[in-house]
Amino acid sequence: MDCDVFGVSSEENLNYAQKNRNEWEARGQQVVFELKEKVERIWADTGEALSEAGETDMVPLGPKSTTETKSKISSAA
Amino acid sequence: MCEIIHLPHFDATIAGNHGYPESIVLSDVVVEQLVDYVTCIAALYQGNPFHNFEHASHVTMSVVKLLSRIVAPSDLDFANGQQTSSSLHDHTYGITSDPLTQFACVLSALIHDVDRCGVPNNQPVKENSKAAVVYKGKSVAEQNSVDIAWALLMDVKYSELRAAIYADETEMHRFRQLIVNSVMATDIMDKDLKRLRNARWEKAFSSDATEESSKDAIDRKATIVIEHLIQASDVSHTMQHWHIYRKWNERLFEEMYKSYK
Repeated sequence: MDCDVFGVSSEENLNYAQKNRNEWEARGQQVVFELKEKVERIWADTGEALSEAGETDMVPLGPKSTTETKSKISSAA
Repeated sequence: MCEIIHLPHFDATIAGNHGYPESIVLSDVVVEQLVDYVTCIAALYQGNPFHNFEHASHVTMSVVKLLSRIVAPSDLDFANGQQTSSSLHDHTYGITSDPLTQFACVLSALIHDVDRCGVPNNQPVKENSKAAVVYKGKSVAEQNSVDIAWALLMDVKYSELRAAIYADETEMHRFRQLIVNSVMATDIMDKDLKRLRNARWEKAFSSDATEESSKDAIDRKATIVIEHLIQASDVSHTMQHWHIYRKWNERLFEEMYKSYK
């Protein structure tokens, strides 16, 4: 990096970023096609999002409703 | 937000204190309050596919890693401890020698998306939501996150924790400035903010002589480096292994899909 404080770490990050960009150039369109298909299939079947349907390793964390969490905190305080 | 956050001058006495700040032992009360604060922050994150507490934890780990990898220039004389500390302070614009700055960076990462709903900032503006009106349509999610996290920290039950973070009003002011600047830096969609940030980087690191004092020039560099540090951490999955990148990309895809459907 231009600011010169991160040493070799910035090179490591840059290398991964460039590799990912190259990979994305090669496979990105296919990846997006598959993701779109997957999301639409789940939504059409169940009306649920991927993470709720357990199709992926995506696990939403935290309660669903902010109002709910705020009231929980208020009652805990 | 402020353009230059003033970090402390180099303090040879503190730098000479071997093991500082690692030698400081926090009381049980402070540790309990910190754990409670982090627990509340975690609960205030919404269950979005991407912008959830796991993302906050990921960003926090990246900030910690980057802070730990701020390096000394290769020509430092490590035999002379005090000279090393002084040179490291100058080389890193004072970031390495100020625990308050480092803690503010880490805390900013933890709170930067708290209470964020799964839609981009322009949506509440379009809908003229209450939050959009309160924050005048600028960085709505980020300003909301700062306000919620700050209000929680100011709760009476965290008084010992606050006393461990800052000792007086000046330090509290600097702490808040660091948090505001850091969290606002994570708004990468606002084109005006992005343009201003890039201009500030250019001004800080261009070779053109400026009329400001040497201390202001160093603090300007520190401020913009800190902002870029958290900004880079916010998208750190793009700079990690392909599988990590894919995992978070998929989550973001789902969140965006739900937003625009």
